[in-house]
Amino acid sequence: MKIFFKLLTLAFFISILNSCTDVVQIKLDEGSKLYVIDAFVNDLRISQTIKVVTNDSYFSNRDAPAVPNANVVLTDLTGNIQYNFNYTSNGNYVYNLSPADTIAKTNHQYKLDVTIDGVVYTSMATQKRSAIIDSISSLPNDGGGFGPPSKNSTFFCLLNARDIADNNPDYYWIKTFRNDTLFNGSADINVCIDGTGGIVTDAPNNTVEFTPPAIFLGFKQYKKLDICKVEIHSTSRETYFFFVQALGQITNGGLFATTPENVKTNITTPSGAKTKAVGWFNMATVAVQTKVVK
Amino acid sequence: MNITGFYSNYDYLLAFKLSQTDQSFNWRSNIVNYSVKPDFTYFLNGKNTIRFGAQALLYDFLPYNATGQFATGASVTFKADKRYGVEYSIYAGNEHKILPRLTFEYGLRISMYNYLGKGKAYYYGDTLSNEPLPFIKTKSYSNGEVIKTYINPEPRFSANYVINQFSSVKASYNRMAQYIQLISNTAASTPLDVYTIASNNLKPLLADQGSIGYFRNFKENMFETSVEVYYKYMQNQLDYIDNADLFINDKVEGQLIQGLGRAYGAEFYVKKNKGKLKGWVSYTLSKTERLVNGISNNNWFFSRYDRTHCLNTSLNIDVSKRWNVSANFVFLSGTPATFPNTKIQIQNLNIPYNTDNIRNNYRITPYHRLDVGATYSFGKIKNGNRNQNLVISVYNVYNRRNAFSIYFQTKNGQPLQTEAIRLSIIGSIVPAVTYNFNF
Repeated sequence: MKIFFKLLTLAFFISILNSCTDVVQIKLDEGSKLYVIDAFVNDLRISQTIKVVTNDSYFSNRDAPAVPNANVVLTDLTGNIQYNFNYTSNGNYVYNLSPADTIAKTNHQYKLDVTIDGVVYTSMATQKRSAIIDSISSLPNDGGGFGPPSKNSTFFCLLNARDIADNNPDYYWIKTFRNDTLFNGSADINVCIDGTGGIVTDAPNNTVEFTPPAIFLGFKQYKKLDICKVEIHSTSRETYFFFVQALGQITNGGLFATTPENVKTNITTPSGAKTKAVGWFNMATVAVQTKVVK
Repeated sequence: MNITGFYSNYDYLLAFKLSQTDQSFNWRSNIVNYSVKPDFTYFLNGKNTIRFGAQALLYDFLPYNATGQFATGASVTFKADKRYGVEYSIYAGNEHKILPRLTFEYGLRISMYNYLGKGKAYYYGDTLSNEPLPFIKTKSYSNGEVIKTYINPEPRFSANYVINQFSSVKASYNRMAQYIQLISNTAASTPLDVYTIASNNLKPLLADQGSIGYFRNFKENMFETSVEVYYKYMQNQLDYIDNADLFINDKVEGQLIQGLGRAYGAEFYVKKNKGKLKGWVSYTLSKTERLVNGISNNNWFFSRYDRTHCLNTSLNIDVSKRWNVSANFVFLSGTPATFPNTKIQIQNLNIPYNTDNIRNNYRITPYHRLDVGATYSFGKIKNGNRNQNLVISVYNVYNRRNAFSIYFQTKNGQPLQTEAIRLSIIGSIVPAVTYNFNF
């Protein structure tokens, strides 16, 4: 909740100070080379991808340079099974599976090994449980509820879901799609604890229902017969705070901008390695629901 | 004897309301001080003047009281417990004219600070440097109960030697204990940077400063000049861990760390007192650094307040009996700032990254500004001057958009593209007309 108001405050000041800002050309030194491992694996019955790339110049406007010579192995330590990911392109290492199969199981512990030029970078993750989605409801955009009035017949969507109420806090990443296209801007990253949408404290709330009583899925507008899809990915506590930190760094501007800081990583670089690896590894249980908007 | 009593109430307030959704946010923090200070002066003889006294200063500090209102009408309040501290001090000093041309001033101030109840004291464990301290417990204290005490002797000494009627040399050393410090992790100073008082977790700032200067006048005091060098060493300077959350956080002390600071430099000053053209020029060459365990690879790094070059000039000329023209120019080196030197892409997020892990590794562009003004005097002559004047002035004559800060962001709607943004506070010419009159 504090972060909600902090972000509101930030948005307010960015808006009033906008006229005092302009884009400038800054010459930055080139940072030393890093391997970046982007490993978000889930239990959806689709091919799973782990990305291995390098860092890039801050002002470059391209995809990150690929690392094609890595060996990527995911090990289910609980089930004692190894999955070898194969390189395709653009730094993507893919594990193809049949629609009836999954490599990610709730409460299992996993180890990720990425070997590059003989150096093994590792990470561990435990797959957490997800929430229960009851439904998605649509809300006509008549201007009386959320957002500005619209002359077009558009809708917003609300997620009605339940958290599992016990003494264990749950951390979620809620992904929203329109007609199978993920809203993937930095402003669309929606993470929460125990379903307390937008209310961010580190204390578990153990609410049964997501509050307030449903999560508003942003000011994204849907037309009639559009498909709204929501996925709730379980994350570890550390993954949740990784997103909070990353978003803080990406939106760190305006009068109250804080001193930039490096985001944390849960990838371990062995001592003596010439090149450090950063990035994040998370195993997710996913709850999915779709709705045809009308 | 002279007795001074004062009360001050320093309020910070941040409040706004979005009319479109009725969402609002109000945040307030304040520091109230009460003080009484008796001072005594005793003229022992023609060569010794003794001054002594005492002071009691009470700090009544509210870290934050914030209320947010949702669009639904529901509201939520975050309010920190008030915190109290009291600083007692006694001092005695002597101004001693050792020789006709040599004067010493020496003294000692002893301060004692008590961090007081009523309130909760927070206790933390140890952890790795640059990580939040693990919270262990709180303990409640009753009204006026002492939670933590600090006692600091603060010696001071200065010497002034008059070489001749035009020149002198001054040297000084003093130690200062400060029981209130600024907490801020913003990239640039803001009016909402809040202070905190010393506590069971935060030690008072101790500063030792020494300086020596040479002062000389020329041409029958038409010109005053001086050069002075100084060195300041600070202990327990407040800093913060990476990713610190300092705003509305009751466990903020677990995110603060204390380290060392040093500042040194040379100040040059020239002033012209007589003639049609009057004015002064001052220039300071300086360096201000910090050393904090766990920050910047445990190396000294530039403080946010470091300014290598600082040039100030103020000139005015009497063009005629009624017209006076003035100009002020200021040049300041850009303040240090932490910039990324690369970015990493994770889940379509372009995240800035600093592979050197050095804080304040760049500087924003230098600040410079020229202001000019013209004054036309008229009306009756009173005490040798006209009693009315009209001032026409222009602030920031060459319309420089000085950077208040520079930050980095992903371009709106273009996730792969990143850009640097300059924030300017007053980035344009500001003309002004002022009418003054004396009666």
